[in-house]
Amino acid sequence: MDYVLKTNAITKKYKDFKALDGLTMNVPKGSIYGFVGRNGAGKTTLIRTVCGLQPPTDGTFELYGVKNTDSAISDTRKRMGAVVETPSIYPYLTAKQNLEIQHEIMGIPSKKNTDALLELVGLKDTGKKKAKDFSLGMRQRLGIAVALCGSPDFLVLDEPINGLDPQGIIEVRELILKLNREKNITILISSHILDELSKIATHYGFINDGHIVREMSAEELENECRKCVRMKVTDTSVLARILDGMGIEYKIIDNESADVFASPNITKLAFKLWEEKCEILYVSEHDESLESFFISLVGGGSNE
Amino acid sequence: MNNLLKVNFSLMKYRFDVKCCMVMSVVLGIIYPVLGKLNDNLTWFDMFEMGIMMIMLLSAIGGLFISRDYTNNTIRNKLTVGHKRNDIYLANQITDILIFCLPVIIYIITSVICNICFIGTKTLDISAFTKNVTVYLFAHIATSAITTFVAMTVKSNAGGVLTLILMYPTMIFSVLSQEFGESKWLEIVNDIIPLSQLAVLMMPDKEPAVHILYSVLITIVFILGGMAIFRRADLK
Repeated sequence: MDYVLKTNAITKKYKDFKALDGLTMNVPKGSIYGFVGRNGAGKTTLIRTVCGLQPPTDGTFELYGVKNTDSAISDTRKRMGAVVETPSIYPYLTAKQNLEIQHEIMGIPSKKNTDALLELVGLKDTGKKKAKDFSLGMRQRLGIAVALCGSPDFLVLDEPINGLDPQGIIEVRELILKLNREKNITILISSHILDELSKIATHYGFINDGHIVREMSAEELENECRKCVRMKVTDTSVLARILDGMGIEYKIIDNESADVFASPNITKLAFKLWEEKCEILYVSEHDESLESFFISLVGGGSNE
Repeated sequence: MNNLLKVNFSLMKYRFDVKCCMVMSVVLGIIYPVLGKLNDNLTWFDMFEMGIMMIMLLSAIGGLFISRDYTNNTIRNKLTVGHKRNDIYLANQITDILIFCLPVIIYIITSVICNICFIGTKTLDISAFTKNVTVYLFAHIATSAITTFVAMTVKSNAGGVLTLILMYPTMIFSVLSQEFGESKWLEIVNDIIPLSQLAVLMMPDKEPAVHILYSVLITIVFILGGMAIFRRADLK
């Protein structure tokens, strides 16, 4: 698998506080990578580090295979765009002028691109209205348009839906999906609004206390969160044999537990297990949302 | 760095305060000689009296020009797309020098034209006048280096006006020298501080070379120090 971004044990210290603690993650090419973590987990610090705003204290990262210590990283960064926390725009300029300035920063002609970008983010009709008079959603979309100057193939969005109203959230979500599907842009998106993230992400990285707790694809997550019956038995090999015989899908968790992805006839199953001298110790319905999966990964403690 | 300079020049065109400053330079360049003529005491060195006021105003405008890049978070746009930190710092420094020097040059040209009209060139000591103008410009360049350093280090609007605030306590040295006469250490301090240099320009400068040398040193020290700090700085 090709990776756009690979980090290798990145650490970032502010005096005595470790914001990132040996974080290792991999963002696959073409994915929408949902970066999940509670406030203060280190999401924004990692994004700032990748964007070159803060040098790592220790560890390295690779952007398109180019190490952050390599002098070629400056050129490689031209392939990425980013909106870190708040949109980086000049409030006293119009949307069009903001894009023209960003094109100037990148040293590329802006005439054709500017109108196309404004249309893409739905800001074509803003005319002479200054960015300071935009709504939060419009500013967010302008920030994304600025990040899209120079046609990047990697877009980093830090909490892009924070503070948006439902309509704004839908607009930004559709824009992200459009960019990924139509322009094949790899997107790293950090958020703690898990429900929203679950609608778009193809891959997930769960971060807690400055390190990745788990990385997985949306498919794997879906499997983890599937509705099932969790059974605790004395011998899972017997359970597996019987479930195979009954044609029921299952997943062995450990020596004693298994998830059964159907609603089996419990009496029949219990009877067959009893015949094989296997006891049922515990049965419960297991239905995890992304939220509860996240809590089970990082623990439910304070986020202070 | 060319792209960054182009961007800064474009932004200067959009900024109301920068445009106001240019207009104000022309207005001051006319008003001051006119007032001098009306009072019948206009000399060629009167124009330097405005130096302290102008440098204070320009340090606020130059500082805010840079610090807005932090408050709007637009400095991220430059770093994210791969511009080197040294280039960003130098582009801002060059822009600040222009913000300081362009109004000063406009002011001097306007004042010179007015002076030629009102008192002619008979009383003009070209050599002394040229030396004063050079000291005047270098003092502004040195202050622009301090302003850029403070704005790029403090990274907020406060950094934009901090140089202006710091100018008040430094003025005490030129006041002290007027009150208590020139002691050796006070003389050295006043030679170093750009603001104090400007305070003596209402007469032909006795030590222009020393003043220019100190201004050049201040400029170099603050640019190199600022670049070193900015290279390692954590930005938000």
